[in-house]
Amino acid sequence: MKIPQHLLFIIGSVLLVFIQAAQGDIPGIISGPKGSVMPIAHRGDVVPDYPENTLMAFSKAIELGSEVVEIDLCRSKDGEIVILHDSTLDRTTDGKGPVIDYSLLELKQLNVGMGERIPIYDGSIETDLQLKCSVVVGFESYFAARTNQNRKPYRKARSRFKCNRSSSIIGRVEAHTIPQPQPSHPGLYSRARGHRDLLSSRRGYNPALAGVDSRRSATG
Amino acid sequence: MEAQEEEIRELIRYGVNGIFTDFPEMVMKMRTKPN
Repeated sequence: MKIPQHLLFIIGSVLLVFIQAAQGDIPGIISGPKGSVMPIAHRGDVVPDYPENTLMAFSKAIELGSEVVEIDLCRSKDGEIVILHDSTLDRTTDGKGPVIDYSLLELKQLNVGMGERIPIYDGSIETDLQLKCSVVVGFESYFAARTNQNRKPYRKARSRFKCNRSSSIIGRVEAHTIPQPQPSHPGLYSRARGHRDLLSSRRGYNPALAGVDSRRSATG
Repeated sequence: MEAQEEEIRELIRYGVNGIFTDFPEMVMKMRTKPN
């Protein structure tokens, strides 16, 4: 029996995708060596005393073995992008009020602890970090401040921020995107449901990429 | 520390690609020996 050429092409393409997936080479999806699990520095921080989302924290996290650094982005009053988790300044800086009420110049004056300043996200920091690790970018506060909604299309955001192929974007987990519990892991499901982070790829939400903070229960 | 180890081990078995953790060296060590 002769197999049509177009059918061979389709079968070959599917096999190629499976091989790439096994090797962790699909663009936009990050994975460790041979698809193994990767340690992610939540808010770029693995040392509790270090100020989160700072260059000092990123360096320490990489030094201690983190293969992925998660950073969070907020927008200033004049439209610049800074690396900060919350949409307000009160928790992590010596400033007060919404980030969106401050210009970049004003934000640069603030102290985030241990003499560190709020890093500016201008593309160069991602390049610098990716010489050593992958970068995951969170946009929750950015969109919350801008539209009061967290369900914006993250794939467009990737393009807006020129994330390269090694980067992914953290979105919100919806209940239906959480993997169904396996019979042998009844406890994991409840913890996963409580955690609202998800590493999404350009192909959309992929529950297999969800990670759960092993130490803190904070979201985002 | 043992609780952290057990939780990371469970997540590795579960098959997630990334674990938000303050113990990266533990993940790297355990991913080669999930059991």
